[in-house]
Amino acid sequence: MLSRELVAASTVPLVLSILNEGESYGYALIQRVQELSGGRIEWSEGMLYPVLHWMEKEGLIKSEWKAAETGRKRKYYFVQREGKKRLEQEKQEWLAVHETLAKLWKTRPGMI
Amino acid sequence: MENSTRYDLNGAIQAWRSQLNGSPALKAESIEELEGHLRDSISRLCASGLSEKEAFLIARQRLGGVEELEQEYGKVHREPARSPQNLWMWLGAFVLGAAGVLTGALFIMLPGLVMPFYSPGSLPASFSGSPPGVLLILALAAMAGALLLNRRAFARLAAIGLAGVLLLMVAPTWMAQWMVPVQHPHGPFPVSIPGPFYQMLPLLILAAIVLGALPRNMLGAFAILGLGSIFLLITVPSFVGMLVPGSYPFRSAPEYYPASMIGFLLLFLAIAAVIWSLLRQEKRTEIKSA
Repeated sequence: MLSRELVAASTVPLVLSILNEGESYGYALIQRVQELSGGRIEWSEGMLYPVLHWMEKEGLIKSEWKAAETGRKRKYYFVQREGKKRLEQEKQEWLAVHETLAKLWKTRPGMI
Repeated sequence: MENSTRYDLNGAIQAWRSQLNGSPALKAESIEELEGHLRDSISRLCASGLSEKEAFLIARQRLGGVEELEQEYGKVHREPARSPQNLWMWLGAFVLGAAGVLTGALFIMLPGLVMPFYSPGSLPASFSGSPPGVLLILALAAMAGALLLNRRAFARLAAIGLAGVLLLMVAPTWMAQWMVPVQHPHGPFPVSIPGPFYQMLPLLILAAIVLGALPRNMLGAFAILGLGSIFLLITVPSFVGMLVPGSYPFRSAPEYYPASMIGFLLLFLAIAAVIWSLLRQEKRTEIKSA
């Protein structure tokens, strides 16, 4: 399980990365992250929607109500140009952290 | 009939929704979205072999309690997102109030045509006892409706407030017309209290209670509405008086003409700005302390 801080920090890049593959909705986003992380990243469900709304307000993503296969209406989210820019920036930052840590841990395997 | 086989899932979801409905942090659209999530979650749990009841309970649990959701939504839906909405709401209130008064002023310029109780200068009388008064009341109702759409938590208070305003608008005139035939000496200022003061006392107390019970937002909207009304009440007749000499509908009072229009406009802007900034400030501190 990730720490609270790390969950908070990683939500935006995760959402943007998934939406960058194509439109999606809240429930599916949570499922996807759970699958990809092998259950290690588990979002509290209620927390995702306010974040999505915030991201929409910031212009990173856009939403639209569409009919789902269940017949009910569902709110789908799409990545916007601002979101792609932000994703690129996030990618650089996360990779920098990742590479740095990886180098350190590779030279001293005992740490892990 | 076994009562364990039939679980009223829709009823349970409805009950859950109504819990969320009361929250000011959750908008209708958010609740709709959360319900979609809950239903997705339930159908997935059911597919894995749980009963509808079990699935509902687990899905609800995972989504988090009302308080938790409120807290999460409250964090994000903070003031900057709301203020444009409030601005439009207030602008709407102002325009509605102004529209009501504009119609009122038009009617006042056609004395005796529409209003059986017409007496020059008695603005409150021509207002609430006449079609324009009704229009203003409708405008108030529309404003309250708009407020209700945005913030359902205040629905009850808004209804009480609206009833109070209606009463305040209508009752004094009726009382004045039926009990004491009053002439208003003050021109366009509807400040003279009709009838003996003690007759008005219960209404004033009621007004104080109603206004005291209103949430800040609505109080602000009412204030703007009132300012909008007073503003046009004074400027429109002045306009007409300026354009058509001798047609000033209350008394000939040239000092009310252009200078007063500008003066009142400035006054209105100043008061509106003060209220606006006060409300903003209060909201900010609220967020900080949360």
